[in-house]
Amino acid sequence: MATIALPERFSPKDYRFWLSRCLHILKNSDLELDGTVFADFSSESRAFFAAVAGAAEKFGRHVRLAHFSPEMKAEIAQIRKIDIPKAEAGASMGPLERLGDAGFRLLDTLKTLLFLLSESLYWTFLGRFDKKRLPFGGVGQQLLRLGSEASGIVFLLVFLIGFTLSLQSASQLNTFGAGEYLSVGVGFLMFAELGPMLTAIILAGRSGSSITAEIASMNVAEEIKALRTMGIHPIQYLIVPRFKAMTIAVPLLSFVASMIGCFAGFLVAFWFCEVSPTNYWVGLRENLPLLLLFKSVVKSMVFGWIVTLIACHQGFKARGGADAVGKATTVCVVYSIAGIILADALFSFVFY
Amino acid sequence: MTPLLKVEHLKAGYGGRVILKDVSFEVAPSEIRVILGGSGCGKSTLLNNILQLEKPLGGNISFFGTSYPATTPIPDDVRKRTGVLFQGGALLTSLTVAENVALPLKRHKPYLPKKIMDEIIADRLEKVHMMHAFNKYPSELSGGMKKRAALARALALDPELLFCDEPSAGLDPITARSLDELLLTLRDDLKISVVIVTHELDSIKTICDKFVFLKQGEVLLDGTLQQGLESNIPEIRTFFDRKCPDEFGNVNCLNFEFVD
Repeated sequence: MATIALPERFSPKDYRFWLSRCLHILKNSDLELDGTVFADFSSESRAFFAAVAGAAEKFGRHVRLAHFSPEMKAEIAQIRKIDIPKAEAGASMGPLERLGDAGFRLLDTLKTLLFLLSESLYWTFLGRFDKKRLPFGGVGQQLLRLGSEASGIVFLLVFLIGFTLSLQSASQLNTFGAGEYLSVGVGFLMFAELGPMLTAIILAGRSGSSITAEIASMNVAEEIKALRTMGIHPIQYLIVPRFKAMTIAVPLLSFVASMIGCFAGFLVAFWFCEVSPTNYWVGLRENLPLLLLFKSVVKSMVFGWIVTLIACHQGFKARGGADAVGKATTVCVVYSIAGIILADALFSFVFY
Repeated sequence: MTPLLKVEHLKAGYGGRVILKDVSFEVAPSEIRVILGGSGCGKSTLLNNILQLEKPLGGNISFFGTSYPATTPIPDDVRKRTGVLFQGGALLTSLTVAENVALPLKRHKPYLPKKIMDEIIADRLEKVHMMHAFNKYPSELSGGMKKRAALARALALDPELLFCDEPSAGLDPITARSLDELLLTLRDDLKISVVIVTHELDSIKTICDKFVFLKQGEVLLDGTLQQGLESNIPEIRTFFDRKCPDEFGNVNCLNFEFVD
C-alpha cells in the first residue's frame, strides 16, 4: 500500500496531478490517502473522490482514507456512486451492408422525388379542374423571391463566364483567321449548355437552398403539422407555388442569360476579332436552329424542377433542430448540383 | 350521448419502438379531458397519433360518432370540426397574425367574402385579447402572445373539439389563468370539448372534468378529477401532492475505508 498526503485544498491546476498520481498507484497496489490537513469542500473535490473510487473499483483495489477530519468524513460519506453511461455505439455495418443501405436509401429518395414530381405536375397543369384544389395562391410572391431577385447574380456571372470563354476561344480562332466563327461557337455553347446549366446551378445555390431552409425550419417548428391539422395539404400549399414559380422563372432566366452570354461574346468578337455587329448577329441568326432554343428551354425547365423538388424534399425530411436545417440545406445544394449535371449528361444523349 | 372522440386500443411508436401500447378513452360533448403523465410517457405522441400527424400502428379512433381505423387518413370534414393548439403555437412565420387566423377559413370556407372573414378574425382575436397584434408577424410577439394567437386560429372555424398541447407551459400565471378561464367559457358557452396535455397542477384543478393518466404507454387511471384526488395509486398520489419521488432510496456510497 502506498500513501499520498493530500494538500489542504486543490488549486486549479492540481487536479490532473493528484488524480494521475492516485491512478498510477491504484494500477499497482492499494492506496492510502492521508487527509490530515485536507479541508476542501468544493464540488470538484467530491468529484475527485468519486473518480478515485471508480478507478479503484475498475482495478479491483482498496482505498483507505486516513486522518480525515470528521467534517470531511461526513462530506465524503455523502458522495454517491453514479454510473456514467457510455455513448451508444451505432450498430456497425460491413462495407457491403453500408453499400446496400445507401442503395436502398437512394431508391427511397428517388421514389419520393418521383411522387413529388407527379403531384406537382398534376397540381400545376391539371389541378384547376380538381375539386380538391386549395384556394391558395402565392405563385407571384415566389416568382419574385426565387426568380427576379436571383436575376442580377445570374446575369452577371453568365456574362463574365461568357466573356472569359469567348476570350479564350478568340485567341485560338484568330490564329486561324476564323474570328467570325466566334458567334456560332458562343451561341451554341450558351444556348445548348452553359445558359441552362449555369442558371440552374446558381439557382440551386441561391433559391434551392432558401426553399430548403424555409421548409425545414417550418418543419422543425411544427408549422407543417399545424397546416395538416387545418386540412391544408403541405404539398399543395408549399411545394406547388414554388414549383410553378420555378417552372416559369428558370427557362426565362436561362434564356435571357444565354442572350447576355452571347452579348459578352459579341464584345469579344468586336474588340479582339474585328467582327462587325451585323456579321455577329447574322452569324448567330443563321446558324442557331429554332429547335436549339426549344431544347434549351425544355432543359432549363427540367433543371428547375430538379432543384425545386430536391429542395422541397430535403426540407420536408429535416427532423430535429437547427442542425437539421443546416444539414438539409447542404444536402439540397449538393444533390441538386449533382442532379443537374447528371440530367445534363442525359440530355446531351437525348438531344444529340 | 355519443362521445365526440373515442380512442380504442391505440398503439403507436416509431422505428420499431412502441411508445403507446394500448390506450383507450372517450371524450363526451362539452367535457374537458386532461391527459397526464410523466415526461416521456407518450402524451404528445398520443396527441400526434389521434390527429394522424404520425401513423398509428393500430387501433380505432372515432370522431363525432363515426369510426375510422386509425391507419386511414382523417377526412376533411373532421379536420374542419377540430382545432389544434400546438405547444409553441406553430404560427406560420411568413404570415401576419390575421393571415394565420385566416388560413383555416380560407381552406374550409373559401366562399366567404373578405370583409366577413376579417370580422370573424377580429372576433377571434378579440376573444383572446390579441387585437393589437392583428397586423403583426409572429416574430414580433412573445411566447404567450404567439400561443394566444394560435388559439384564435384554432378557434377560427368554431370547432366542436379542441386539442391543446401544453397550453399554459411557459406563460406567466395571469395569462395562464386567463387562458384557463377562456377554455372554461368556451366549454360552457359554445359546448366545445377540449383535450389538453398539461402539467400545470393549478390549471388542472381549475378546468379538468376527467383525465387519463398515462404510464409507460398504458392508461394507469381514467377518471374524474375527484377520483384522481382521492386515488391511492402511488404515481397519481405523488403527482397531485406534488411530492418528489424518494430518489435517495438506495444510497450507493463510495467504497472507502476510513481510519484515524
